[in-house]
Amino acid sequence: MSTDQYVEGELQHLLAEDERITEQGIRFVRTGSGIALVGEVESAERRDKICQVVAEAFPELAVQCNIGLTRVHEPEEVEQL
Amino acid sequence: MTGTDEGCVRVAAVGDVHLDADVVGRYRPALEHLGEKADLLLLAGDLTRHGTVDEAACVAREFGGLAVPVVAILGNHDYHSDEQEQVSAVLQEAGLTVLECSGTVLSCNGIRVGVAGTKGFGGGFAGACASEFGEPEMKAFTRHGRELAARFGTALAALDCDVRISLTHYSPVPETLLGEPLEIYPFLGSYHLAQAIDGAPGVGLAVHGHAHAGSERGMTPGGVPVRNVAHPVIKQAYNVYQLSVSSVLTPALG
Repeated sequence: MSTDQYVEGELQHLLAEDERITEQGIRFVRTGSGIALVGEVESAERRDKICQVVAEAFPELAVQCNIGLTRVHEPEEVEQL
Repeated sequence: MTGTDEGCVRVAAVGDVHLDADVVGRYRPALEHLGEKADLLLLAGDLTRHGTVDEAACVAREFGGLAVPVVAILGNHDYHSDEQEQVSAVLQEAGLTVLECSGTVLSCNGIRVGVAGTKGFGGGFAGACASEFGEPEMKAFTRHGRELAARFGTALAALDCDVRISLTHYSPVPETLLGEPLEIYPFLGSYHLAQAIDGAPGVGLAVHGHAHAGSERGMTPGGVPVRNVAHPVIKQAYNVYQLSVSSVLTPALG
């Protein structure tokens, strides 16, 4: 399956509207044989679920998971306004 | 990082934390020293994933009982399950102040800090925005954003305080959306919010979230600093901004 525009449209709806995902901040880019998911989420569980749901919905696409976890360290600096 | 300078207030802020059971406890280590770093914490909406009461309880657990006052607004995710009233109630029971077209005044270092907040809405930016014309759905979309901005502007201007802070989920300016696809700007913010901010005197900071792929810094046409504090943008538990009251005496735009 090639990553045509309709697939991209369906994928965007899936990321935002599937109750197991509901992510509007995840993007995807085309790769040679499929797509790479890019962005950041709040837990490893969510990252794995997104990649699993996308892979199941588009079994003929190679899905590369480049989603990371957003860091939660303390700030070291103050911005003076 | 040392204490707050005299005549200044330190504002911690983060948005789009999207709490659920799988995230509870993740922010707590970074919040342990919040009282040494800031005078208040702003939560810029999208506190939950699906806007359920159970998820709100996770937010209450994570951001309740902190050393500084917490002022929050809801975001679009927090409306998804049509439980926004109950979500707000759970947060308020935990001691958070939840704003929607309303404001609150806190006393920090002897300074009266006024915060007005709204979820806000889309609609786009000057020259490329939605219009109240045509189908009822289009008119409703446009009207919702305009009405919220107008009511928010009234709440912001009415605050009796030394310095004002604007807290919205949607963006008031396009600069902090840089990095997002241009095509979706009308779904990420509205210039009517900036107009409301510039219409009030002495606004020292405008904080928003929503745009995960956007940029941190911008400014309203009237010169108010705008900061996108969406968690994936700031990439840490929260950011801290120090406002000097003496430098925030800009009059409202005519």
